Amino acid sequence: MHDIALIERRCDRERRARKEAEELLEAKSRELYRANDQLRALADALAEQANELRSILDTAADAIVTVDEQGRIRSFNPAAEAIFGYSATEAREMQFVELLAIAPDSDVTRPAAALDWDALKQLASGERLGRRRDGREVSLEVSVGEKQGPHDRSLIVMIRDVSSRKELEAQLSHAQKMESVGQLAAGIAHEINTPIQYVGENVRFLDDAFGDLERLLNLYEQLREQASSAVTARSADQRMSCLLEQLATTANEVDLQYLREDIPAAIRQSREGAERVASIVSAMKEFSHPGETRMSAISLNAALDSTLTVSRNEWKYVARIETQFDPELPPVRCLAGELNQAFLNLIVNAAHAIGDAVRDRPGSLGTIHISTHGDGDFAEIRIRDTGTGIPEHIRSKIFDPFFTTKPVGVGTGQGLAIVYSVIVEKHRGTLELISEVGKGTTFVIRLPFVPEQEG
Amino acid sequence: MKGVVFTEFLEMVETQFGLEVTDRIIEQSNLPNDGAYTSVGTYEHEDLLKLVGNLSREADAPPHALVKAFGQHLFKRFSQGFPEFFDGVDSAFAFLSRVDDVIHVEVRKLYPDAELPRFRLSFPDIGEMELRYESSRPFADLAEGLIEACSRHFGEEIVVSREDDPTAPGCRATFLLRCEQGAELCTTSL
Repeated sequence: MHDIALIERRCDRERRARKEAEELLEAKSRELYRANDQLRALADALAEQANELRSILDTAADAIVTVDEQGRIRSFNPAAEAIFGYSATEAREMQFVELLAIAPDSDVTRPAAALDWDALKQLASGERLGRRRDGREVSLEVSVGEKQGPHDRSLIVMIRDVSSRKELEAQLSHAQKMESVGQLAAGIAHEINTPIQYVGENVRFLDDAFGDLERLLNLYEQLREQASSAVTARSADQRMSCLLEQLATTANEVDLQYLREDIPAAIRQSREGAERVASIVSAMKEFSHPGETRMSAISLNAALDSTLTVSRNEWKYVARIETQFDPELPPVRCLAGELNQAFLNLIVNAAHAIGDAVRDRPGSLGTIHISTHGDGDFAEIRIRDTGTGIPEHIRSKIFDPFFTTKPVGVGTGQGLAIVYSVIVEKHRGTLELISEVGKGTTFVIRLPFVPEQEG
Repeated sequence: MKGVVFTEFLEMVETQFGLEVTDRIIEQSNLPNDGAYTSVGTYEHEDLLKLVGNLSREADAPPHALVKAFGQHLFKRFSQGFPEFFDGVDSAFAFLSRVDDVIHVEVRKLYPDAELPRFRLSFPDIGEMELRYESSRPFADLAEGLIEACSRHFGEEIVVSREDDPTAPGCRATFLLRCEQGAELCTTSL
């Protein structure tokens, strides 16, 4: 074959190859253009999303804080700035734990870097006390989410300032306590009135008796003077005998024998009455624990005793009380005032249920049986009544706020809701209901000796 | 198979055997595009096998020897065309270690749909490298040529022994590379 022909064929191949390359290049250019277009659209969408997210973060009512694996704050939205008083720039230099008010004896005062991931997550969830830049404490509700990135992980912490809510809750709790105090006041007045009445009667009696004794004592005084001067005067004999006669008559008149027997009895009774009044006042004080916000270890048996004392007038006409307290029950760390309130609500409810059950049988009494015993890490309290029982269809609602079966104006529907809040939410305990219509109800309360959030 | 393999092959044939032989093997191979290859295109690998077969007859040389020789030629062209892949690499073992993780990654950036062979590495002993070649195409000979050229490129004395997988001849083979001039020289910068 001629070289020319070979070269022509080679050139032809080259031309066609070039043409194919050009077509490929054009196709690739179009592909690039489309990819570029898609990328631009994607970038715009991402920018819009980022803007949206930023707006959400900026306008969120809750604080949103992101925390890295070492516990350092990475982002801090305006709500977080408002709650804690730090600027976002300042916060990014801080550890997350610095936002919390942590008990001095707590483990978590260690540097955050020493906390493992789970400890950090646990710290960033639940109800916490925060510390503002100015040192003031703030009640927080904290929830946490975990974000797993390609290289590291982080926490997204949502923080709600619940100070106002807590204050309202405290006010509500106080109002409920005041309501209970109001409810109990008439009964307590009655309880105090009885001993005070006989103390008064006795004091009146002692007053009169002393008047009588005074007359007698005057005669005795005269007799003593006469007797001392009669040693030498015969004429005194007649006077002496007159005085003795008068003394006998007066002693008879004042019923000296009766006074000698009843004055000590009146004094003893008055002392007992005063002691009874003092014990009621003491139980009232024991019951209310005014202004107590921190947990302390108390005897549940004593708490139940004082609650029974202050509520006596609520149950004494409808029920007899049986107690079976475990004398070995260790003290329980709790908010004593709130726990007493819960016990009171349950006892009053039991009395009302029995009242309904015995309404048609005047004079008959039901039973409220209260027992305590220790069970591992928990103290168990059972409050059993022989009342009407709770129908199945309302059992799931009885702990709801404002749910009541009582007539309008009688019940507020807060009683059992508060019991639930105190036992379950504040003490991490459990509350179980066993009820049979027509036979009665038992509330089984289990309280940890040391609540989880403290332990 | 990427067009660059075809253009480089035809260029090698033209340089070694002349334009007439090149033209003849193209004619004899009855190719779908009549041998008009561009380096940026993608073609069936069977076309290359046809070209090699016809060259074998023309040159009276076994196909595997021709493909191996082409592998050596290809490595040389690669080292001239892409010097950046050799920056900071001073031994054949080090270079071959980068094929899957660096070079093929770069190839995929340009040709996302490229079907590339896989090289699995292990080091059974000091101064030894085991390289398992796996491909959907039977070009273990080409890989052998590339490996040998690589060792020559770094001026190393490496003995290459090969064991083919009888269940996939040419598609799966294990190469054992043994460094002859002192293990430490072959393993620098690994």
